[in-house]
Amino acid sequence: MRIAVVSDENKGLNSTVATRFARAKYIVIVDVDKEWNIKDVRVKDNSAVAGGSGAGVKIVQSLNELGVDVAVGPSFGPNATVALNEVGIKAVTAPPGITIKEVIKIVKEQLTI
Amino acid sequence: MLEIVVASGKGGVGKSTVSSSFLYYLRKKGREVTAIDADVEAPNLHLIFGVSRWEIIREYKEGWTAKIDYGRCDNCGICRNECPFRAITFDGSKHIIDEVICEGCLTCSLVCPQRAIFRVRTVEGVLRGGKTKYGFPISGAKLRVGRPNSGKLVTEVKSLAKELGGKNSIYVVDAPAGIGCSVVSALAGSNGVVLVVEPTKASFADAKRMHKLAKHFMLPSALIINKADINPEFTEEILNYVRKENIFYLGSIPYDDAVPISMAEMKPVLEFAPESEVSKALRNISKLFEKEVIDGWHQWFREYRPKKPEPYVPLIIKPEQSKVKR
Repeated sequence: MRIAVVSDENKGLNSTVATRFARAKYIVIVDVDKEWNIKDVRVKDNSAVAGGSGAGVKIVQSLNELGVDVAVGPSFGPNATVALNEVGIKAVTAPPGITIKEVIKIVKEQLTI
Repeated sequence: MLEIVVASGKGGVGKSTVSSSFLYYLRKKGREVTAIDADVEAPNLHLIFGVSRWEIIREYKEGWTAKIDYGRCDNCGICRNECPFRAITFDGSKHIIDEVICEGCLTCSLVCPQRAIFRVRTVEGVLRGGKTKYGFPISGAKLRVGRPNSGKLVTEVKSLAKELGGKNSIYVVDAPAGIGCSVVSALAGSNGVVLVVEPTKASFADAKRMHKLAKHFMLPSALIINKADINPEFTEEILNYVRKENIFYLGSIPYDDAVPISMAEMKPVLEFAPESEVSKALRNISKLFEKEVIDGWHQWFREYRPKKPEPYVPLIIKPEQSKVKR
């Protein structure tokens, strides 16, 4: 499963969740296997920040192209919520400031209930 | 760090008066505060605090505009004919691109046989930061005529404020009117919303939409009725909504000429007319705001946050399926 977490830091697994979803600086892509072991981590620039408006839709577009299954952010704007629904990416909220490792635990809890 | 957004949906109902009162009151109590004027289309928070000199002025660039390299241009006129926005005119000796009309689509560059057209970033306005004479920082922006406020700009105004205010400050955001992109950006990353309503149908209808947006972000709301005495029966209707929707009621403010006069004097009304009825009301509201929203934030958040997510689904218009067989 592929999980995308928005962050303002480029520190791999030590990056923390940003305070914004679509206007965060980076997208951290984490691949986990069926036992929730982390297999791969990549950090991508979030191109959605460059635009004046429509950032919510733009970031979902790039997440969709990256083949993401779960998107993690502090909160999701109205347009981002609709776009995530349309492409079938699950949205999971996580408090800003926590690290990717903790995020994976939250996603695991949310999805296994 | 706490970030509270003062919003209303409708314009002109008292967002800046309320946010400036909060800032002035909290500052007088010796607290660290920072003002964020997110209403960059009509910035006026700095005027209330009498700020006339900015320490930081940064160019804000966002969109693109086409530019002609006159060394290469041979005035063939193809660009002028192809421009979908009719932004290119010929003045008899050279082709001119009207920057206000140009959307930066670069059709002109694509069709130009001389490859004489390239694109440059347009300067939409300036970001600015400074200090009020009360000793707290303020950030804002000023746009050029014809350039729109955007989510990106509000994000940058907020991050400039955080550079100036630091980690321990209380941030009060004076939100733009409406519930569009820039307001969404004002709410994202904040910790709560103060709704300002006046007892008119228009203001109430817009405030309800604003509250829906706050609920979308799972944020708690507080509410202030401004100019409450101009329509007392309607005030009751707003209070019913406050109870039904589990909003924290901060109080009401009477109509008072002291407000516009203090604005003309470039002073917060609490300083200009401290004994006026409006100042008494604003002091009480600010006191309650400090106690319950700032100091009692955790409690307030738990009590007034929506119990379950209520997404605000925008209108989706899907193109009709094409019936033409290919």
